[in-house]
Amino acid sequence: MRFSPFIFIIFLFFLTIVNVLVSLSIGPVHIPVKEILKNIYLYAFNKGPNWTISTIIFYIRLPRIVLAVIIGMILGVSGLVTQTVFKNPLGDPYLTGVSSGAAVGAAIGFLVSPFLVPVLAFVFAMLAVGISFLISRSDGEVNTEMLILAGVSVSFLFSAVASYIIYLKVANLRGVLFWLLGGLYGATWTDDFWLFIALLVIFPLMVYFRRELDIMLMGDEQAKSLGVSTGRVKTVTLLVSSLITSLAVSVVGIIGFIGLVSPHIGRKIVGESHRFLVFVAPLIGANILLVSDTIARSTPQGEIPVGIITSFIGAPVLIYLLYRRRKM
Amino acid sequence: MIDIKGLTVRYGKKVALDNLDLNVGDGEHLILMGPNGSGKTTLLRALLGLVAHEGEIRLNGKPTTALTRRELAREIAYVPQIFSTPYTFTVKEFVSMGLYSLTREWWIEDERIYDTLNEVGIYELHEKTINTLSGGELQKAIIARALIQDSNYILMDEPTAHLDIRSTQEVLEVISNFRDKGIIIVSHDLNAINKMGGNVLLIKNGKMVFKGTKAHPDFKSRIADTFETRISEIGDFLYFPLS
Repeated sequence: MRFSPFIFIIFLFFLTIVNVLVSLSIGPVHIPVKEILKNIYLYAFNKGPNWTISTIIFYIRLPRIVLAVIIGMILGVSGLVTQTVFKNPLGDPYLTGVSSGAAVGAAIGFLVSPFLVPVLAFVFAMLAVGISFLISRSDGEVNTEMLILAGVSVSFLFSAVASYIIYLKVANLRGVLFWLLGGLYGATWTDDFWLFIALLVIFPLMVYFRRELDIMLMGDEQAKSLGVSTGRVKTVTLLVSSLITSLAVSVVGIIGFIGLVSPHIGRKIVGESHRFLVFVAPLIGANILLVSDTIARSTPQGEIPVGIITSFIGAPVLIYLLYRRRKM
Repeated sequence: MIDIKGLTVRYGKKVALDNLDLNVGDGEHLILMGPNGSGKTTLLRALLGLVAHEGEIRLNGKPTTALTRRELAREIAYVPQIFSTPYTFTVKEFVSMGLYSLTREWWIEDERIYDTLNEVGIYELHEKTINTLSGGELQKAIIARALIQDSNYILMDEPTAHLDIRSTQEVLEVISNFRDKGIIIVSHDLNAINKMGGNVLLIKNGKMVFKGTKAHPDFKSRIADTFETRISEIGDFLYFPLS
């Protein structure tokens, strides 16, 4: 099924807004959507809103919801770029070593001081990415085949280190596990601000490179002969997406499947062209993460890691897409 | 004018092109023949700046190594060997990729794309996706993508390979209309070569062994030498009347 891409992008935009409103109303205190809209209006124009409801909306639920949207967009667009540049449908933004690097940093953080977890996760994620890139450089260019293998190898190494630390040293096993599976429970407006800046870096860059990404699907040789500096495009897009993904992971942990599945859903609906996919993949990512996070924070067991929910939603979707492809 | 001097390309220890000198004039049609592994594709790859090389390749006096990819794409377009593709770009989107080196505003160039599709004879396919095309249709789409680059030269790697007789004829007809462009065609298809005008360049083990017209008195014997076969065995193919 292929819809008109423009209409689909507009649809996704409104779907996101609807999802935000629904998610705002769900929680220990149920607030009807009508009440939310009324309070937003009263709050915005300073006409004496209900302060209890406003506090729940603006200081508890909204920061987290905004974070889900931003992180979903970052993972969606990074996943898209990774799959295209590697020409590998199983590409996800963690492929270059981001997740296992971050895991090592987080494990050390839990050992030393929980406050250091985000910083160390980011530093070690970048370390893993850096090592992968260094290994895979040839002739001053990133060799993508090498980079996949380097990323996998580095990931195994860092995972081993993380497992060692967690198994032998860390007392707060439940805390580590929660972090590894990802969660948005700690969201603040400060997080939102910084990740919004990150989104403002990666998103326009990928929109700018949409043409190059299309052409690079035809292979390096053809892309070069058509005038694309493939080495530069690969290095810039992969480095930026790894950096931004590391930043996202350092705040919310390792949330799987969003980066993998969002581009696939997008392609099924609007086709291959990045002209549309660079908008569609992040919006799909935002919606999946938002729905998943809303479920994760309102299960009867209390809050569970959102990574569990994204995998529960993502895996069947991916299997369905693969099944459809086989039938074609 | 392409001016090649002392071109040497090595893959590790193997010498793929050995100190090759060659001139290709503006508008010259050159057929490149040689046994498998003789260095034909390597020559194309060197001209496109896809392999590191020693020696010099000059385009209108400028060394190609001094050009950016975009500048080089404006001079030389490439028709790669036909490939199979899973991607669902439409023919129009696919052909528009040829505009990359010329403009960033490809979406306002519909007319140019349709003109080119008409020139190659596949206008009616513009909304079809490239993964559903037949071999002949895809080959013409690839040629259209190279044509829209508006370059002085087009390099073609086996443009008639895997095509049936009818598609081969159609592709050859399209190519023969490119009178104002320099063309270098790698081909093993003797029937096709027979139909094409221009000079023939024979290379073997990375060296040029012959350059001249098909009417040259030594042509057949040189081909037989190059491919290590007898004239009688290729004689039936060469000058086989196609139409």
